[in-house]
Order: sequence, then structure tokens, then C-alpha cells
Amino acid sequence: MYLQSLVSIVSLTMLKLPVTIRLVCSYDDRESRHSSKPTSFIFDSSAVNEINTLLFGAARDYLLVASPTIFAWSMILQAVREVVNMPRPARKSHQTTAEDFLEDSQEPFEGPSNASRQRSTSSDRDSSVLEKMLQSLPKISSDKDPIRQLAEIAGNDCEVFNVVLELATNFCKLASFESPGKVGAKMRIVLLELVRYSLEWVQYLPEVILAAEGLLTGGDNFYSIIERARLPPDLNAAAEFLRDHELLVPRLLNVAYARFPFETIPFLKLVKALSAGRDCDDDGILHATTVLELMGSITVMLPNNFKGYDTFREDQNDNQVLLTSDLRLFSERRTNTIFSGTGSRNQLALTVSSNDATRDEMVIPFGTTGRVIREEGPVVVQWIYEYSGLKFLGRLLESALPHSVFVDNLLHCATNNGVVAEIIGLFAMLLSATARARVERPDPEGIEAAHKLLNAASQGVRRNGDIITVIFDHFENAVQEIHLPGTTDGALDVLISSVQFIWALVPVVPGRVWPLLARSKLLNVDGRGGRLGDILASTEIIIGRFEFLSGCIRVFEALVEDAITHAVARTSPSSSLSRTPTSDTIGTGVTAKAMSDILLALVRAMVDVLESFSNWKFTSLDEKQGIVSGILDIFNNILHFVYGADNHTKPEQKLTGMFAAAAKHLTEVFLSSSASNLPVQPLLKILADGVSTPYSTIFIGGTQAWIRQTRIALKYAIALIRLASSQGLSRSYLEMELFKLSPILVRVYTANDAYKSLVVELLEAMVTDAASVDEEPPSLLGPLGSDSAKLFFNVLADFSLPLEDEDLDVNIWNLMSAVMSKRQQWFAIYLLTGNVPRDSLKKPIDKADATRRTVLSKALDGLSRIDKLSSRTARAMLKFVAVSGDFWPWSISEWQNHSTFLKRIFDYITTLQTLISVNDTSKAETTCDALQLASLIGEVLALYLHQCRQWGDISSARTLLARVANYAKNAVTMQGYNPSLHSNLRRNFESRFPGCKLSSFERTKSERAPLGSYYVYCMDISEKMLSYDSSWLGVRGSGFHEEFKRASLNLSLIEARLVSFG
Amino acid sequence: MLCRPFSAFPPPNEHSKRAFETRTAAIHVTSTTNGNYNIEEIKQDALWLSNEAKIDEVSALRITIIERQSSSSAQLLRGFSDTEIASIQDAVGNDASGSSFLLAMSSMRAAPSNAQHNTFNSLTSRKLRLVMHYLSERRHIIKVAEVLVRAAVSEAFSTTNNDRNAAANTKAWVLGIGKTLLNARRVGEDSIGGFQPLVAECIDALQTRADDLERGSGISIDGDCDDEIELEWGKCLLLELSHIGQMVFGIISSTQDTIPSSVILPWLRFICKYQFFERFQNVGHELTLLPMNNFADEYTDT
Repeated sequence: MYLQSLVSIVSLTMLKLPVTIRLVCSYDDRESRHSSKPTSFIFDSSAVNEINTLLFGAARDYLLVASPTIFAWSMILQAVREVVNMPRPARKSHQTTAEDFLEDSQEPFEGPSNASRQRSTSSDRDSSVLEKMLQSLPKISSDKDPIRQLAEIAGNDCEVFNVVLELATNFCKLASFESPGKVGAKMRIVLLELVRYSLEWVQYLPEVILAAEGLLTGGDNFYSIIERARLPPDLNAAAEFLRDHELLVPRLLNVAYARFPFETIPFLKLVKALSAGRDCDDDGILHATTVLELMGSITVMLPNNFKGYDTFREDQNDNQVLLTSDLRLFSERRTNTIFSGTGSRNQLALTVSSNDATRDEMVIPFGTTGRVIREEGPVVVQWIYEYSGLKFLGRLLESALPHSVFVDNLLHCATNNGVVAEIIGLFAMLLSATARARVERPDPEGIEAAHKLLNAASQGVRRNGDIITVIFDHFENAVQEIHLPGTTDGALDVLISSVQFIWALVPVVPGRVWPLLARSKLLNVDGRGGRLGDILASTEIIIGRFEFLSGCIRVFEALVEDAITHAVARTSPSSSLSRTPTSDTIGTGVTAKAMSDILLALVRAMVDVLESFSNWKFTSLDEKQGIVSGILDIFNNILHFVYGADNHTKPEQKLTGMFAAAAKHLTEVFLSSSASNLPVQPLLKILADGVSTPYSTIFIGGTQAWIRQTRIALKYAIALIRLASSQGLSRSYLEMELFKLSPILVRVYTANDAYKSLVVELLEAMVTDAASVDEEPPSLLGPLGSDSAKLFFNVLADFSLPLEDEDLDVNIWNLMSAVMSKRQQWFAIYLLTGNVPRDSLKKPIDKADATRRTVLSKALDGLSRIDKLSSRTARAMLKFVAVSGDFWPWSISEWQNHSTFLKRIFDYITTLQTLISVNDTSKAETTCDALQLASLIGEVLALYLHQCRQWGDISSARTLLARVANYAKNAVTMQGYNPSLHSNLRRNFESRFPGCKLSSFERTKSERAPLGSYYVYCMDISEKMLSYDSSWLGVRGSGFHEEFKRASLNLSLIEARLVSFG
Repeated sequence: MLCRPFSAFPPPNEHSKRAFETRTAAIHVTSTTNGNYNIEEIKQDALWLSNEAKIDEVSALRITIIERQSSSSAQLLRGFSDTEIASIQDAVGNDASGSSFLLAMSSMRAAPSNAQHNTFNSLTSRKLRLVMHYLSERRHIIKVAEVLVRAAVSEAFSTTNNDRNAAANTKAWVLGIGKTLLNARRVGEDSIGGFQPLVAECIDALQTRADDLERGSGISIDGDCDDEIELEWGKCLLLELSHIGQMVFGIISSTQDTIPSSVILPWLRFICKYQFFERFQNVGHELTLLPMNNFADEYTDT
């Protein structure tokens, strides 16, 4: 229903509700006549007449799609009517008369009455443009006021607030994939304005609250709200809301506030939705937190037998009451009364002596005034009483625990999981939004503010606990009870929001999360617990939605991130820790063993999920893909952290040792050579799904999620295969399966441009690894059959045309080089001759095929213009030519058919020599490139010379030889090694980070990098582990970050020289 | 082409015919002995498309060339050969899970290799692909124009620093083309009224498409595949309508100013004529855009 939704919003936007109403209200006949400003449609009577005709027509048809526009138009007309009926001097400012409509409404929604029309007294403004508008209103039915009827059709018959909610949560979400969130955000602002103006007419209704909540959150889940890119203030719906002290705050937020906590959920929902906007003051405190910090009134339902109040100021007739005794919100449970909460004892507990009141602030003191809101049934009173909402909510949560020392006297939410889940969810949102109040990721200031928030919420909790233990207790109760039959409803909601809270907690106080998780029964640590599977089986697998599982994956992801970023900080002795502001919270007390156990348990649990998820029913494809991408991404990271850096042979002893057990488990499961009981099949299926990637110009989000999933799966497969090579493992089941599935892989290649580079890398890794063992490698093309193989060659031989993507080109050349040298004969012969061997046996060479340019001739042609190529592409092509000449010597004869090839590359050496002879460290990168090129050209020429001797072609060899000798003479000097650079780096580093070795950050064989700044050290891992320390960035490029790169570059230079002349 | 996104492909005329002949003349085409393509076939296909879709010959030629260039990929994505199916089944097993694996790629029918080859190169299926390419080009040009206009418009009205930074991040060339597109139609500098001609053009384009939708594509491949073409045609037009709608939203939401009646009236007239598309009969096509449902089901059917 994309088009309808779009049309609905565009039409509403056209009316420009706020501007139009402002124009109407500030309208002045004389001014407008002389105004040079662009005129609005609203002052064009014929236009207004036509709009009336059109929109009244739409209203008569009860068009749902049109209802927001119709509703807005009715508000504009009403504004016109009010201005016309107002005495002239009052016109300047917009004075609402909304109270007229608020009282005593019978229907759920009531449009404006025509009462105000009767107030019209003057007759001297008959000619006014505005009045003319009202004179010719069409009628829907004769006996009713047309404006009111218009509003009622939109409001009641079309349920405009439901339409708004639908648009906000479904359509705007789709649109928000356009220009990072801005289009969707703009649409939500337009809809929020509609809701805002409607508040002049509409009462505080559930559907309005829901619509407002939907507009604030945009229908996103907790995690995507928090990680959503920041919006500028004018697109931030929460900021817009909180700025509006005319309507939204007083008519919506304050009304919900005045009913809290008697009506708990609406206020909590609103505050949570508002905090989602991360709208904060200069100190980084969320405005939503400020609202909660000091609450001015509390609304409670009094127990039937409570008599400690009296009416007061009866003459004013506004139901004022006065407390004649203290009113306790919570009472302490005494051991002998735990199970006997009868009325009379509660009565005892409710009133306390003033001595007790001073000890516990959660008491509404004697003398407090209030207003009775509901007189029938149990009396509901709004007391004027100041208290901290955060503290109150903390206490409420604690009292809801089964064995709590507190009993909540007035709300009775002990058994209400819905309220508990909502409060925990609110804390999760406040916490993570506070930590990110000013930046996209939690920063030190945000984390400090988050600490204050936790402290404030812990105030209400008894002395030996805090809000964190309380929430973990709720979590643990739900974990242990949820799969029991007859568990109270909403336990799943408690789990979902607890997991959100834990996720929010990880960046703030990771030191608390690890031990609590180790004790939890959720995961199987030390052979205990492992409830995750049971929970899923008894809840989410049945309903088909996986919020809890998605949350667990996010927590896992956060823990992995925490483990790596604090790896150095946790192991370093205290001298370096004292420099970090967060040292007391990251938990140096957490042992590596405990972390390792938890990570292993998590990996096991995720592998279980991966093994079985394909049998589950998902209601949302997005959710399914999010789960798959999340799990595989974590696996990728773990392998990278363990095997990416540090050549130490024992992974457990690396700095990243806490991941070693988890990584070992992954390799055992995915790289086993046996075919039984493995999650390999699901991984293959995920890869194969890439073939069906949708292509859409509208559902951009769906396409992106799909692409992300396939790319992550491809990366994971590449990482596994490369790991198998570098660890010298025997050929894995996964790899054999991948070879058999090459028909699917080549289709993944063609399915989307975003996959091409990765598929080629995967194929290369497969070909390389397969040749590393003695047995004959499986053929990459065998399973394709000749027709599909030819088609694939055609596609591959286009390289990245027409987009000219250098990465893809280089990867394709690398694959082809690998094919040449790694016993893939069939593929190799095709690349060299343009023919599939089987064909050339069967029939005479097809004329069309013969004339097709072979890949080899493409390379030779390309290299004939070597000076036009980028250094990387030229290197990859030279490598291909050299390797093919080396392994398939007869291909060298083809070189002579490209007459300019040899001459050009030879001439190019002169250019390179000038680059190489420059001894300037700032140009080291260029020098490095030039050296590598020169060495490859040398290789090619050597092959040619060798071949010339075979042919007995001495003369051309002699000319070449003379020049090669010259070339060699010019470049034998070894220079450039900078010993002091490396020794200084090591010395400085080890004194700054005692207990750490520089070698811990060196790249391993399984992850190669081209020569250059990233050659030696694994920069991303180093960055993660070391950037907590100020010396990493340093001042103006003096930090270790730059030093690492300089050292890499220097060693690359040496390496390049060694290869050239060694 | 981006400057006239709503009619990127003008009808054929004398000028375009001459241009077509010059470009395909022997002097501009390397000799046909190069076996990759058959120039006569390309010329015929291009003229056929130009005639059926009423677009100029040069554009038709461009689309025909795109079709030729992507034909290997298209052929690969059509299905598996017997050899391939055997290998896949060997890998994933021939049991239920194995067949679900193949089923998962429901878009790809397993076809015997020879028959596949023949049907793929048949005139009918080639013409069908030409039409699909033509429709996809139409839609993408509008979508690209929409993105460009959005970038340029939000820059034109940016007031806060934040906006300006965002604009700086947008690639300069995107902005450049967007501005050219916009300025070609803009009257006056400082108000939404300046964009009135562009909005008017959008609304006209919407109207044309709504009419076309009722009329049908008028493209026919010798009576074959007409249903398929009409379905694709309807889908394409609906998407075009949506993209143009997005463009209108981009323009009018970029300003806090009020809207002149010359903008709002044509819009309301147009959408009220179609009752806000609420009772639009053809919209069912949209659901077929994303193969979500069948996909999720395939996996759980085992």
C-alpha cells in the first residue's frame, strides 16, 4: 500500500497545517493587501472553494487514505471560524477555545461545535476573505454543522489516529531508508503536527497516546532506535514534542503525568518514547530524565478502608482533600506477616508514625493536599507531593520481587509483569540514550551521566542492593520460571526488556555484567543452566517473533566488543590503569577464565541456534536476517580477534586469549572433515539465499538487510577457508561442499554487484586451500558443466565494467593467478585459450569462440598501456601473466603476438627507477609500489629469456640481457631500513603498556595485507585494544597509531626490496 | 536524460532516425567478424523496440546493447543445468532438505540445458528481455532524478549548520546534477513558488502514468507473453508513480513556507480524481515486488 500511504502524507503536507493556521490567526485585511510575500492558497477564495468541494467529496466517500488531510482541513476551517467570530483586537494571537469541546463528551471523539459561531456579533466584516470561506461550505447532511461533520468523519468513521499510527509505524519506517532516516523523520514530523493541533479538540484518549508513541519511535525496535543516526533538531520528533508547551506537553504528557502511577503504562510509554529521541540539555541529561527526576504530584487509588484524609475548602467545589495521617507508599514486610496481607493489617501498615516518615521518604506526609479525581468505587486522589520518579520506580521494581522486603501498598503490581517489563524497558532506554546523549556511541561523559542515573534509581533500593541487582533478579526469575506451565503472562516481556537493560549496561558498567551473567542460568557455564534453548522452544519459536533472541545476540555482540576493547586495560598493571577514567567500572576483577567460559557458552548457544533456525517459522524476514547476520558477524569477529594478530602458537596465551576457547569451538564445528551433525548446511543455505536477493527501488531496507546477510556469510566462509589453510587443517567438509555448490556460488556472483568481490575472494581461497594438500584438488568448474562455465567466464571476463571498481578487478586477477598455479587445469586452459578443453576435443573450434579475446590477451593488452593503470591493477595483471608463463610455458608464445607488450613494460622500468631511487620516507608508499612492480616485470622478463633459450632465439635474448644487466646494476643497493624506528617503538610501547608485547599486534599469515602502512600490524585490532589510552592517538600524529603505520611501511619497503633483488 | 526524467525516452522522429543510422553505419562499428555480437540482429531488435514502445531509435539501441551485455548473467540466473543439479544434490543430499535447498531458489527453474539454451536465445524471450530492460530503465531514471532533486532541494533551503554539513557530505557531483535539474525549472530564487513548474510537471507525469495504466502498454510480442508484459508494465508504472510522489514530497517538505494554490490545487484535483488511489484496482501488483512470503515458506515446509 505504498502509493496510498505516500499520497496520504503528501496531501497532508500540502496543507502545511502549522503555517496555515498561523497565517489564519494572524490574518489582517489591510496587511495582506499590501504584502509582497508569496500568497498562501488559504487566501485564494476560489482555491479554497475548490478544496472544499474536493475534500468534502472525499469525506462523503469515507476515504481512509484521505482522512489525515480531511482532518487537517477541518481544523483549518475551524481556525478560520474562530478568528472570524473573535472580536477584532483579540485576533492577533491564537487563543484556543478548546475547553469548549473537552467537557462532557459522549462520543469517543467529538469535533468542534458550532457554539462559537453564535458568538459572532459584528457585521462589519462581511467582506473579509475569511468570512467568505465559511459562507460557501458544502454540506454533507443538511442538519449538521459541516466543519464538525468533516472532523467527525475523519475522526470517528475513518479512525484517523489509527491511520496515523499505521503510517508512522509502517510507512515511515520504509521511507526512512532514504537519505539516512531523514525522509521518514520528515513525514513523522508532519503527522505529529496533525496530532498536535488535534489536541485542541480531542480528549486524552488511548489512540492518541498510541499514535504519539508511534510517531516518536517510528515503529522501530529498541536497538534500532538507539542506534539510529542522530537527527537534526528540526527533524527530531521527541525534541519537537518537548518544545511544544502549548499543546503536546500540557495536553498529552502532563495529563499522563497527572494520572501516574494510578495509570502506570501510558506515562511510562510516553517518557520512554520521548527519551528515544536522545533530546538532552547542555549537561547531557535527557529531558525525559529531568521529567522523572522531580515529580510534582502522585495519583493513587486509596484502599477502601483508608480514612486518613478529609475534605477541605469545600466551598470552592473542586474536590480538594487533606491528608490527616501519613500515607505510606511502601511498607516493610515483617517476617510474621508475609503471607497475611489482610485488610486490617494493611491498614496498620499504611499509617505510620512521623518517626518512620523521616527514615523513609517514600511516604506522603500528613498535611499534604490533593484533589479527588474519581469518587465512585475506590477513591483516586492526585496528591501534591514532590518525589523522585526514578527512585520510586526503583522501589516499585524491588517490591515486585517475590521475596522483597517491601510491599507496595497502593499499586499492587507485584504480580503485574506488564508493569515490571515496562519499567525495566524504560530504564534500558534511559540508560542507553543517556550514554549516547551527544554522540553516536557511548562516550565517557555519557557513561558518567549514565552512572548518575543508575545511582538515582538505586536510591529506593535497600542498602545491600542496587537497581542492577533488582533487575537481574527479575531476569533470573523469568529465566527460571518461563518454561514452567502456568507461568504468569508477560514473563517473556520481562525477559525482553531485561535483555535490553543488560545490553545498555555493558558499555556503562561491564564489570557488573560478566559476573552476573556467569551466575545466570541462561547460559550453560560450567555445565549448569543453559535455559536459552528451553526459553526459545517454549515461547518465541511458538509465536514466531524473536525479540528475546535478537536481544541476546545484541548482548553477545556487546560483550565481545567489551572483551576486546578492554583486553589490554584489564591485564595491564595498575600504573596504566590509573590513567583511565573508567578503570573502576570495567571490572579488572573479572578473570580471563570467567570471560572465556561465558564466551564459549555463548558461542555454543549461537551455534545451536544456527543449526536449528531454518526449521523455525519467522513472522518477519527482517528479524530472521538480523539474527543470522548478527550471529555470523560475531563469529567473524571472534575468529579475527584470535587468529588475526599475534603469531604466538597458543591462542590461549595471546592478549585475546579469552576468545580462544570460543574460536576453537567454531573451527571444530565448521572446519571438521566429517559430514555428520554440523551447522555447515545452514551456512550453505544462507549463502545460497544470496541468489534470490530482491531488487527494488522501494523496499530499500529489505534489500539492504538481504545483502548484508549474504555478505557476512561470504566473509565468514572466506575467513574459515583461509584459517584452514594457515592452520594446515585437512580438507574440511565445508570446503568440499562449497566446491560442489559452485553452480550456486557463480549465481551469487551474478545476483548482485555487492557480492562480486567477495565471491571471487571465496573462490580464490577455495582454490588455494584445495591445492595445499597432496591429493588432487576438486575442480571448481566441474560441477558447472560446459554451458554454465562458459557463461560464467563471460561474466567474469567483463571484470568490473562498466563501473570500474578497482577492488573487484584486482580480486578477479588474483583468482585467475591462483587458478593458473593451483591445479585447476580446465579453468586455466580456458583463460589462456578461450576454449573449454572438452569442446576442443569434440568439434572443430567454433569460429566465434576463437575470435573472442582471451583473458590472457586482455591482460597483455592492458599491460601494453601499463602507465595508464593503477599500481594495484598493474601488479595483479603482471602477476597473472608471470604465473601463467611459469606454469604454462607455451602461453609465452602469445606474448609475441602483442608486439608492444614486452617493449612497453620494459620501458616502464625507467619510470619506475626514478621512483625507486627517491629516498624520501614521505614517498615510501610510492617507492614500495614501484619496487613491487619492478620485481614483477623482472620476473616476466626472466621467464621470457628462459623461453627464448628454449626456442633458440639468441638474438632477442641478447638485447634484452644487456638491458637487464643495466637494470640490475642500478638497483642493488639495500637501503632504507630504519633500525631506530623499530627499537624505539618497541621500547616506548612496552613501557607504556607494561606486560604487553608489540608482537601481540602483528598480523598473522591467515590475514594477509598488501605491502604498505597496514602490512605488519593489524590496525583494527590494535585500535580496539589500545585506543582507550591517550598515547594511541597522541598529539599531532605522534601516537602509536602513526608509529605502527610508519613501522609497517618501513618494513614493507625492505620486504619489497628483498623480493626485487633477493 | 536526467533533466527530463518523466519523458526520458521521447518518441521516434526524423532526427533520431538519422542519428541511429549514423551510429550503426559500418564506419562506426568494428567489423562483424568479431563474433561477440551480430550487428544486424541488434539493429533489428532496436528498431522493433523503438516501434513497439514508441521510443526514439538511439535510446532503443542503447537498451538493446544493455540487454546484450547482460545476457550471460541473465542466462546464468535462469536456472540450473542437469550437471549442476546433480552436483548440488550430491552436496546437500537428495532428501527433503536437499530438495528444499533447490526449491528455495524458486525463481530459478531447473531446465534441461539444451532447451534452456534455445528458449533463451529465441526471438520471443529476447524481445521480452528488451521490454523488461526498457521498463527498468524508465523506473531507475525517475528514481535517480528523485534522489538528485531531494539532495538539491534540501541544500537550497538549508538554514541550519547541521544541514549545511550534511550537504557537504553529499557527493558534490550529486548536488551538481541535482541543481542543474532543478534550476532548469526554477523561477525566482527564494520560495517554494519557484518550484511550482517542477511540481506541475510531476503532477502531469503522474497523470500520464495513471492514464497509461488504464490504457495498457501497447507492446506486443507476436501475441506471446502479453500477460507477462502487462503485469510488468503495471508494476513499473505504479513504481514510477510512487517515485514521482516521493519527489513531490521532497520538494514540498523542504520548506516551512506555505504552498501557493497553483501547487496544491492540481495535486488535490489529481488525487481526488483517483480517490486518493484508495480504490485503485491494480495495486495488487505491488505485493509481488519482494519474494518474501514464498521464501519464508519454502524454508519451513520441510
